[in-house]
Amino acid sequence: MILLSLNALIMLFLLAPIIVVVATAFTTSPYPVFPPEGFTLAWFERFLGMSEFTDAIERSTLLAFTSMVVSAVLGTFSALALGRWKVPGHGAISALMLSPILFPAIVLGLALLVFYHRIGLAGSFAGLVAAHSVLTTPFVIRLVLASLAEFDPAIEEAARNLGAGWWRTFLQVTLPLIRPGVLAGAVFAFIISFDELVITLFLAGPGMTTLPIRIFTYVEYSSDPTVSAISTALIIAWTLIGVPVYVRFLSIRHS
Amino acid sequence: MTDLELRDLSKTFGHVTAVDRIELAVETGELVALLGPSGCGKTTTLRMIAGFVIPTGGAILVQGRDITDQPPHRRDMGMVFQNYALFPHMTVYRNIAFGLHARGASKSEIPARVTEALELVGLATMVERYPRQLSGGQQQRVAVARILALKPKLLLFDEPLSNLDAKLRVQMRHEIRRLQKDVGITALFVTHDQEEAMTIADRIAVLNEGRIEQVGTPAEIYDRPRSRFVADFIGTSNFLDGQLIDGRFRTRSGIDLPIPSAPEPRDARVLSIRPERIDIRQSGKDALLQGTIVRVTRLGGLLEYGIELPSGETVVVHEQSRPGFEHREPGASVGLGWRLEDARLFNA
Repeated sequence: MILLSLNALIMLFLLAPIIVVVATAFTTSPYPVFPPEGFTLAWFERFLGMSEFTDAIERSTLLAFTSMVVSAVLGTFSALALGRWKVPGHGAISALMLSPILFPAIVLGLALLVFYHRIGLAGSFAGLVAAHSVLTTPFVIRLVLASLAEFDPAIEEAARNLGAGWWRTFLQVTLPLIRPGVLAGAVFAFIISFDELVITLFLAGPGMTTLPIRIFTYVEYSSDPTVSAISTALIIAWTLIGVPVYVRFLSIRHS
Repeated sequence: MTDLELRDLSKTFGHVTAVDRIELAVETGELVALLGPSGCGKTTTLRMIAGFVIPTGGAILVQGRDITDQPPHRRDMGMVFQNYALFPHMTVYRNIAFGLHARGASKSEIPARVTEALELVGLATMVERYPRQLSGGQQQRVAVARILALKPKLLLFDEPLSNLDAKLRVQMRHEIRRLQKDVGITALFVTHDQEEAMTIADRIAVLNEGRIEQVGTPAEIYDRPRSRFVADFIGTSNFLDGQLIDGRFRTRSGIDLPIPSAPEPRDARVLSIRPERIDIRQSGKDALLQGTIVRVTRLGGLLEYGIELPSGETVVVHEQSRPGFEHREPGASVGLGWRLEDARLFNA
């Protein structure tokens, strides 16, 4: 009983900010208040009418999607190399691949800015994709490695023994078996890229403003509930698209 | 005809020599067991033949053709793995069809060949099941059917029965043996279980520390072991330390034992004799050794005596027991004897 109420308390603590944000999106007052005063959809209307926000959402989605695909492919093959082949210096490579998670984002952002200026990637979309992929690939590697550890390497050997070359073995045997890890990694990559702020601030050139940057600069000058409305829209979108994907592909053993 | 030939095959991992210049020839239709304790190199040898381990020396020939440098999927061999290694995301049908597709069988013949393979192992009704819906024994059969469908040149078994329970293991031995003889495909069978090797194989290659100690039929290996290791690893043996003096074997405690004329090797230091080849006699003149019974154990239809010699060494003797058979009691003084040709001499 005590445990149960403690649980409820923790859940409430975790959900409270989200509830507050969603509630304030509907307030009639010119700034976010809780509890909300009255009910209006005006803030949603306002944000949908501001091209700076809708463009940013479009750009962020494209950026997150591209980074997701890049890091899913890179991360899956890196994990295969690390988990299946006896690569010399395996431990060092593994640590290096996972290090971007451990670096302070601000250091990484500054370093990439200096580097990009030298190689001419600064302010480009490709530069942002590369930077985000550096950040998201380690998650894919980790999750795919975990999936790989779960099944017997003899299964891949059996495929080879039955006459399948490397590609056939990968596509028909390995990939279906590590699919949960690849998909979980991809979902992580998308989310991380979509709300990445610090590194993007350093690297985004003109015309490259992502949604987090747009929100960040907006709240510096204005304090109306438009941002609450955007957040609410994102939460709803995620619930409608993300959760079904999660349940379908990532829930533990749906057989 | 020789289906498989290993020439001087070696594998070293760093400083460790896992397989040390192995020579072996397997004839068409034969089932040869690679038998040895864990770490003797038997699995590494099998994995080299399948192409999963690259040899550091020597050659592998299949029907006279050198395949040492071929990748695994070009080798035309079927391997049954210890954990079966079925594809968990495919039905039984697709597990078996996988190899047929990979080897380019025509689409029209695949269903018939899958059915034929499943009928061989008696699982024709299980086509739509997934591996997790099958028992261990059934998974084993699917793994066998999966390779039989391909009609490979060579069957490789990597301790395929070690995960089954005791009864099923014995049953599957006979079944694998029957299937292999029916399809007539040459097979290599890796096991650490000497009983399994004895029942299933036409010939046994005993491996120890990366080398072949002896190759022979089960009877040869059992009756005429060529080294102390083989005599000890296959069945049980009594070992008496000593040396050859004037055409007799003098034990450590100074008892002279008669041996066949022209004993081999000349520098023998151990005499070995199997427990069931010793008979217990009245202690007296015609006994080769004297001793005292220290324990009696009943092993099903066998009685096992532990007999202590005056030197302190213990000799184990097996005797058949029948109803009404009066076994001897601990404490009794007895004499031991055997036919001279049943004793083996080794130099280590």
